[in-house]
Amino acid sequence: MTGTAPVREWQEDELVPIAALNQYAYCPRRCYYIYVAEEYEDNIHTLEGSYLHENVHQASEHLRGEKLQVRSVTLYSARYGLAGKADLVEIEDGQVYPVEYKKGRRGDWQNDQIQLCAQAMVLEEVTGRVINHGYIFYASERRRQLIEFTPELRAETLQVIQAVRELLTTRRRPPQKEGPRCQGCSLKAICLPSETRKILSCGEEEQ
Amino acid sequence: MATLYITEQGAIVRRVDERIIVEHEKEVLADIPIIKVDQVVLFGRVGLTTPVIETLLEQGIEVCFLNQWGRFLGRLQPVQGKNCLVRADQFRAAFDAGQATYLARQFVLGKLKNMLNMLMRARREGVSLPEEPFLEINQAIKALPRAENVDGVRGLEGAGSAAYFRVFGNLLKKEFQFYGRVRRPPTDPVNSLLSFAYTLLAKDIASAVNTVGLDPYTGFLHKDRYGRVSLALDIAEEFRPLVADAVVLSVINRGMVVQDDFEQELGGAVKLKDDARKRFLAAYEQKKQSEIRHPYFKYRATYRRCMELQARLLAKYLQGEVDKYLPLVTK
Repeated sequence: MTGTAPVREWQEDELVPIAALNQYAYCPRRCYYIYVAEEYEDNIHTLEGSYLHENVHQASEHLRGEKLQVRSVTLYSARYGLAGKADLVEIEDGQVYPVEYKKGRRGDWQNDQIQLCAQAMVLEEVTGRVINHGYIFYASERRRQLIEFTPELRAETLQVIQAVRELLTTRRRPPQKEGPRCQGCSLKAICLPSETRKILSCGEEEQ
Repeated sequence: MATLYITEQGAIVRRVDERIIVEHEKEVLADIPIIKVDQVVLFGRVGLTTPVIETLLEQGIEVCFLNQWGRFLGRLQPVQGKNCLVRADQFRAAFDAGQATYLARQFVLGKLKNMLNMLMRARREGVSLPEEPFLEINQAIKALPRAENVDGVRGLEGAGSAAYFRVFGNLLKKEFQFYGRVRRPPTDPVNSLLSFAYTLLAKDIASAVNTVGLDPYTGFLHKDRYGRVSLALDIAEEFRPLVADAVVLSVINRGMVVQDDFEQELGGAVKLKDDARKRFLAAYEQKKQSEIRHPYFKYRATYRRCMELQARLLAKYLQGEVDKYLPLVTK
């Protein structure tokens, strides 16, 4: 899959933050608020997440058995126009792979997998080696989940990169999509999905 | 989250660890964790150290400067979001006569309806009130949809408010007299309290408007004037009866502020003495944090949250996400 995107000079606003891919895959509108409108609010979930990353993001490098662990690795891809950080990169038996820390529980979290896959794609570009898998470490269970970088996941990731780049350059606001994800979203009080629906459905005189 | 008011002349505000310390001649007047504060309001001669300014700005806490007599001077504003998109839409609407007239109408509609509801509530509670102000405010409300431009809306706002203030004095249960609105300067205690409450309200709404990324200086009903927070004054209209007038009535009727709490200055202006001002600020703050059941959304929200909601809903109207702006009207 590598080699499909052109290598070129990226403008400042075309450079896609890797973390934005996760937000976009969760909800395009959330990604808009954070990366275009620069509005942000914490809730208990995001606070737990940043606390976790504060502990993870101490740059360090050490050997653990046969494994070399490098924390907080800065990533930049000239090919895909991506920039960001990997929480942890491990090198074991000549294999390089990323590990992303998340606060919740294991599950089929497409948004987390896309973020991890993008990290792997940058690492592939930097190291010149193919990376077949990585891990997501879910802190509340203290367990790693193996993620395989299948052609489908890679294709999905490329699509999201494109979509985020379009969002950042056009600054067009994605439509609201009220759903179960709104419940846990820290930006609900800014986005106001149910309030908007109510206003649209009531008449001017219903006051 | 609360507003920290500092009224002590000569006080110094500094940061110690994650706390804000207010000192006066080596005596500690207040010691508050920064996370409990969302706004700082200074009256007159109060000093801030550079570290405390840095911390407040970093934490997104704005600082408002009022002079010793409560006149708004300006604010220290944390980094504003780069959401210039919403401001562009706001400017477009301000130059569009149709949209500006519509919004001006809605702000005034909110204000007049809330004034009317306030008088009706007082009458239900046994206050004797003549019939005319009800009719006049109602007439102004009915005529609003026909107002063709912002000037027409302002005329109706003036007529409705005049009718309301003609009988506002009837709602006072203590020995205070009130014969109508007098501003610049207020020459009686009630007008002095009203002016002070409107200043506090405009400051709070300006901060809500800022949070949303709108420009507080570009209004629709209020004409742009250098240094005036016109948009904040626009949104403040619907909140005036609900928050400001209500606080003034409650401090007077509960005897929290009495005639002796006021002094007359040489020029005829009447102002609150320091101690009473602290009590008034506490009452205003309490009102702002008090919860109501939201008339459309049916959940409980503080007035403070309602102010931000109105600013957000206005932004949604300006950005074309909803097709109307509904003022907050409570029964």
